[in-house]
Amino acid sequence: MQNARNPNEPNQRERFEASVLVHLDAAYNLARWLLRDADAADDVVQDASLRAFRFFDAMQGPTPRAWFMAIVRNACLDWIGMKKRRGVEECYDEAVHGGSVLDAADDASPESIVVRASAARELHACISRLPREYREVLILREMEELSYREISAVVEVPIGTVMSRLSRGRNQLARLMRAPEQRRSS
Amino acid sequence: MNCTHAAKVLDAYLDGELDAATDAQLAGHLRSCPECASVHDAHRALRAAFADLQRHRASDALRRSVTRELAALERAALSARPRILSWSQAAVLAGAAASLAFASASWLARPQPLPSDDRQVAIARHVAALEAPAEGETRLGIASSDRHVVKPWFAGKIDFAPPVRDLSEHGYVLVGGRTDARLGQLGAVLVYRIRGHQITLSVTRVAAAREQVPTASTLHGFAVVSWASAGLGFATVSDIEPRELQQFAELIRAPAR
Ligand SMILES: [Zn+2]
Repeated sequence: MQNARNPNEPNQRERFEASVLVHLDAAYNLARWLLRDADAADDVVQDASLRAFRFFDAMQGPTPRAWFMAIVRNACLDWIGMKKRRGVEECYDEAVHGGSVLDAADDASPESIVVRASAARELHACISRLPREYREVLILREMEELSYREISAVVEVPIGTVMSRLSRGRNQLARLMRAPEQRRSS
Repeated sequence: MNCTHAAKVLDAYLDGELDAATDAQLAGHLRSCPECASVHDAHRALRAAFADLQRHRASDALRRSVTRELAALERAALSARPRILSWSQAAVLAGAAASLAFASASWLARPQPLPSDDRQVAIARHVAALEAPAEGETRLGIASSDRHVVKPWFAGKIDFAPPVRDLSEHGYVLVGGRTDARLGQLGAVLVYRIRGHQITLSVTRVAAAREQVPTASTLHGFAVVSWASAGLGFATVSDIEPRELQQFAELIRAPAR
């Protein structure tokens, strides 16, 4: 299996890993929020990664990250569509979807960590109640910090639509966060 | 700037995506309009709250698995010579491929091989199923030689029923099956074995209009027979002789009695 390639020159796979696969966490996070299913996210992200590798030569879009996440998102939508055709209800699974919501790297006091963890849980629950169109742009913007241009490429809508979805998504999320029935006592 | 316009650009303002002129106009409006300012504050508070949400991260198992499959794809794409077959086997295989034109008429009436892409994926899948799984992963979702166990296992996992045949009387022993979401579409992968050789059969949904007669080819030293029928696409891969793999495909295609 040895070959005569210059070992200092990165091959296709090494270039792919350096420019695309470094965004595996971002891709996985998006898949988890879209699919709400850890096992499905593993399968879909793996296959989207291989698909991206196969079409690496045809990479386009504002950034490799946006291109990769567009492929992952499409694979997620295919999976969701397939599930719908099969008549499986989309449901929110706290056990699968919940878990630790507070970032470990934190220098806040124990008391404020408790308060913030509870707030983060609440936010988590409210985001997952949002329609997918709003949920995905919020995740891409707030958690992955994509530019509007990148989000526009991932979601395949004009930048103006990205803007209005973020606006409506935040309005709806703010309403959910204020609604008394969503509040948990702590 | 009026409130309607302000509401439109408020979030782009928060996200730092506004041009300087609009940015300044909105800042002015927010100073003079308590209503828009309160929406602004609410959205800004949401942004701050997101900072405490933990990202879901790809597991080490997923990372390893992706890396391994990439390497398999790379090998399949790069290897100029058969990976598993010996040179003498390869020579036999090449000869067999050349003689396929004389095989049974329906088989190769008009060869329309899949795009090499699809065949490479089928081969990568085959190679992946040959290799021992990494810790904490399973090679097969269901390991059983009983079609009455394997077939129902797919129910609820994919939206079609792959043909699962008992071909033991022909020497092909069913090993098991797994699902696979390559190409963004879940498919069924069935694994058979004959005389120590593995045969994988991949089944995925394709356009209903895509009818294709079984087409044999060899790629990277593997024999591949692919066909499409009634909305399903099939690709079977092995290192046995193409002629024998065609017989296997014929058995799979035979209507269940
Ligand atoms: Zn106003």
